[in-house]
Amino acid sequence: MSTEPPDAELLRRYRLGESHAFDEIVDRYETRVWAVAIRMVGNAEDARDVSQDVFISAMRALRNFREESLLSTWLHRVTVNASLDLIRKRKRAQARALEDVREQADDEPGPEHHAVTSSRAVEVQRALQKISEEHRAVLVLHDLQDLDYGEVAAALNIPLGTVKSRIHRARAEMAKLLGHLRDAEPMTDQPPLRGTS
Amino acid sequence: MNQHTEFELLSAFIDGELDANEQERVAAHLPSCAGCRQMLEALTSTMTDFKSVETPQPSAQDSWALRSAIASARAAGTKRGRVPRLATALAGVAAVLAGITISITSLTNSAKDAASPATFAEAGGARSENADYDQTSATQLLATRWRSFQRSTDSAGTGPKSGDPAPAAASAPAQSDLEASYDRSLQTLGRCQSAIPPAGGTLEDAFQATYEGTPAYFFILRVPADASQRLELWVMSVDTCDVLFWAEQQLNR
Repeated sequence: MSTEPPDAELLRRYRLGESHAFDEIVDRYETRVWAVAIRMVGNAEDARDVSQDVFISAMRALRNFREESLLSTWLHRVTVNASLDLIRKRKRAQARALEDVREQADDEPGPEHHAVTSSRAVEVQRALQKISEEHRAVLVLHDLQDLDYGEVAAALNIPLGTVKSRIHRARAEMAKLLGHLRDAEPMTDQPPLRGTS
Repeated sequence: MNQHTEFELLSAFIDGELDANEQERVAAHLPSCAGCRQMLEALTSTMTDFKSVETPQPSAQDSWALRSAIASARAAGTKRGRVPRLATALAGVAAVLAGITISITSLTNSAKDAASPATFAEAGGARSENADYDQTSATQLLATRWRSFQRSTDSAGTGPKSGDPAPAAASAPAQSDLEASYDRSLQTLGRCQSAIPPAGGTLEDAFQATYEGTPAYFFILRVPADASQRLELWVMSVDTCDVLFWAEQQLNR
């Protein structure tokens, strides 16, 4: 059984001009980039655009990649940033479209299908699109993509403390959206539980 | 009372992010506090939901589009070579044609050896279609219904009219017919329909067919979604109500 070369080896070979090494990087990270993109932007059409932007940027940038961060960290960062750029562009376009509600483009995107195996998965996907992009990014990377706090902080270039507070708030929002938590007074006679910091 | 703060504290607690003293304090507090235990349960249920979601996978078409874009960018040098949407659409047409061929094959096979459950028609319920769908043709079904909706909305119709002939579906029955048929439907239909998370939508159509050889219910819902509506297609196994396929299409108001 052959062992896959580590990322550093693929990068080294790519820097030396071996273009097939980049194809192996695409094979290795395509699903991860796709998963983050579609969870951030919420539909396959936009996720396709984000994925293409990420890997075409990578094709240029990785030739001189100085490996100050891991390849995976860099790809996560670029994917989240590309997703946020597209979300903002889409919001601006929607704002313009509201000025002309009768407009109907011939190239309207087709149905978006998602590989889901449960109704709950659909609810999670719907709920993700309702929280802020900042909360969505930390939740997708940590709770869905299983990056640890340090990796999330590195990918998003934000302090560790910010990652933690955003994750906890994001979970609270998701718990409400998924119907596990209601805005109600806690039923307790006990002294409230408080943080000490 | 700051429920928000307590939830965040419990979130840090389950991640093991509190210092040793705080972890102990929270652990000691929980047995005597029903409210906090409820919050902890809400949190763990939420985390369980996350774990139940499978990693999204790009389709073969998505992978093709990505590699084509990379190849175009390589060929063009520094120019960005994103695959134009027309090329992606043409690939989609080819996929539909391939899908129809596959569907016909599946229909032939399933007719030979599948033990068929009672159909809606046999039970006096909603209609049954003699068609086998797959991902591509199910997506096309929703697109066809979407076009019908768009046209009926533009002509200020009161509901969907029969539009382009769909691969298998006839024009959608009236809501009252659907409701009447559901009264007579098999128990499994109601069980599957009730498994669809409520989103304040309207059931526009329902029928039984097969999805990749598996007997399935097809539900089309029109869902209010923020500033616009969307159509959702749910394909659910007759036997288990597992979601076999799901798609959505935005509608313009």
